[in-house]
Amino acid sequence: MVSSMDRTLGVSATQPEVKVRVRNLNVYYGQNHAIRDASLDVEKHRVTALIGPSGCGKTTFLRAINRMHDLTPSAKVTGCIEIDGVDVYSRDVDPIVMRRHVGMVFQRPNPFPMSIFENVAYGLRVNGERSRDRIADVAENSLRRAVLWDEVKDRLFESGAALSGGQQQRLCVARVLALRPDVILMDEPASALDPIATVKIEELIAQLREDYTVVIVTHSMAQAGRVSDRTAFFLDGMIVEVGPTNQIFTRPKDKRTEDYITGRFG
Amino acid sequence: MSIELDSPRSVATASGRLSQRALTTRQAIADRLFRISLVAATLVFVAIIGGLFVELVQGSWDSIVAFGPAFLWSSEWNPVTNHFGALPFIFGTVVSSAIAIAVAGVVGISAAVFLAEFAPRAVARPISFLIELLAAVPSVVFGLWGLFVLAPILGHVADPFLQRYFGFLPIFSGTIYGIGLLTAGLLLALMIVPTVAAIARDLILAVPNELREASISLGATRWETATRVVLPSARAGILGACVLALGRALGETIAVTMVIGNRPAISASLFAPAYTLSSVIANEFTEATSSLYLSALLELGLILFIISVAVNGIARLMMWSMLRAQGRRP
Repeated sequence: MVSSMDRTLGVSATQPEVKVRVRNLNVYYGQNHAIRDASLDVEKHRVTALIGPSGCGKTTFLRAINRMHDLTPSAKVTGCIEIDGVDVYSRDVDPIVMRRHVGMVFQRPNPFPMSIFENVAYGLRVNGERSRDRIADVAENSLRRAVLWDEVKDRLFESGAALSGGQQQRLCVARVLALRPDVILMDEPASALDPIATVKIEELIAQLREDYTVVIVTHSMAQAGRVSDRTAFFLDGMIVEVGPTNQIFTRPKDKRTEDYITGRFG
Repeated sequence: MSIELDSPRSVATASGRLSQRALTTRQAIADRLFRISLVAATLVFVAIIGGLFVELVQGSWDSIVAFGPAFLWSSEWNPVTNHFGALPFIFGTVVSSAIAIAVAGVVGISAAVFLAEFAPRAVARPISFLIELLAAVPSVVFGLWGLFVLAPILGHVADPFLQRYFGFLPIFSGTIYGIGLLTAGLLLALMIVPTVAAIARDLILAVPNELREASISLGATRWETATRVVLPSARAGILGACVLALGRALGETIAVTMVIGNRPAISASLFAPAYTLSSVIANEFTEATSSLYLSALLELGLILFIISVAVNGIARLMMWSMLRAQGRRP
């Protein structure tokens, strides 16, 4: 199995910093062994795409990073996930504090049933921010960064549910950006959107790379090719191959990756 | 129009299409019959409501003519002199139901949040079952329990306690009897709390898990998630559950009759005996000797009917505005 050991291949001269280091991750749902001994280095200020056929474990892997499996009583996680060298599963780490630094965008847009403004303010409020001015500032900034401000600035206090699907998803991105997270996890963020909204989300992801580290699960290889710097190919709960996206797509080293890329299965 | 021969649909021959049309005609008739029966079944409800209203107005016509609108604010209820007024009964009904929905709303919604969001399944299942069981207890049994258990406890323990520390408030002043407005309100609360808890629990469980996950992923605790995201998502439905429960409280007769004291008086004290619209109808209907007396009782029924309809109507308007605020269509 090709592991992340060969990540130096094809990477530009300056050695990129590793933001998230995953080692020997195993996730079980009851008897089901969903992730098998997966290891991956996620580089800082890069977009890392997780691809693979349905049920291969890429979403499970993603959700292990911000400890969302804590909510599932039957799920068990072993192994090590470090963000900036801190094991997020260690006893000293409070998952609630940790999640503040790891934002998540979900498959379907899921704005809260409150106003556009309150959606963005929510993360700040639950994390103890009281200053109205600061919340207003951050909310505006976040909406601008999510390229939504111009569309919503005149109706900030209308319901978030009244927006279109694509706008809702960008609102969900703004909601995450308000907390200035280190890492943004995206679980097929465009799968419920129409092509135009998809393009907007992809452009947004490209911009986010400047300040954030993004891990994106996608079932669309074309999308992985468009937005990501590095790609990890998952199969049956294992990471088969990881490398620079153009290398994975043009010169995959593993036969299984090649079969998947060329559309022989999945 | 051209027919593509390679399309599987167009394989049907001319005769095939004719027989298909015959089938369609038959289907159209069946469809129409089906629709007529559905409309008829729906109209039954309109007829029932309309019929009830007309019947009540007719029955209470003598009283309406005799007392006019003053019936609503007159406190006199004297079958001997044939003077009747509804105010004490309206007061008793509204206050006892208000106590009931205030208590049952808080307790029921809290229990629902706990059962749906926090309790492990091994706890939530049996308790949910018990709640539903409680909803099935006949009201006369509640009444007996209220008379022999709740009223003595309130009369000997809770009411004196309230009076001792909060006696400066008019609502906790005056003589303590054990039975009275507060007892009736609390008993009613007990009777309607299962409705609130069971429906609210189902509504909370129906809130999409994605919202909880979004909240948790932003660093919210489960408590913050439950109170700030989950409950507001379900609030329009929960309001509906409360109105349903309130409707039951407004109309509840036998249990209230057993513990409210049945005295047509308006007192500031919640410890004082009172009377409700439904209780007086049940108690005095058989002994209504004059036609005006009977008519006055029916007018009380009409008032109860109008109060119930008004409460439901107001609640419906509130739900609409809540759903609109959430950007959903009612």
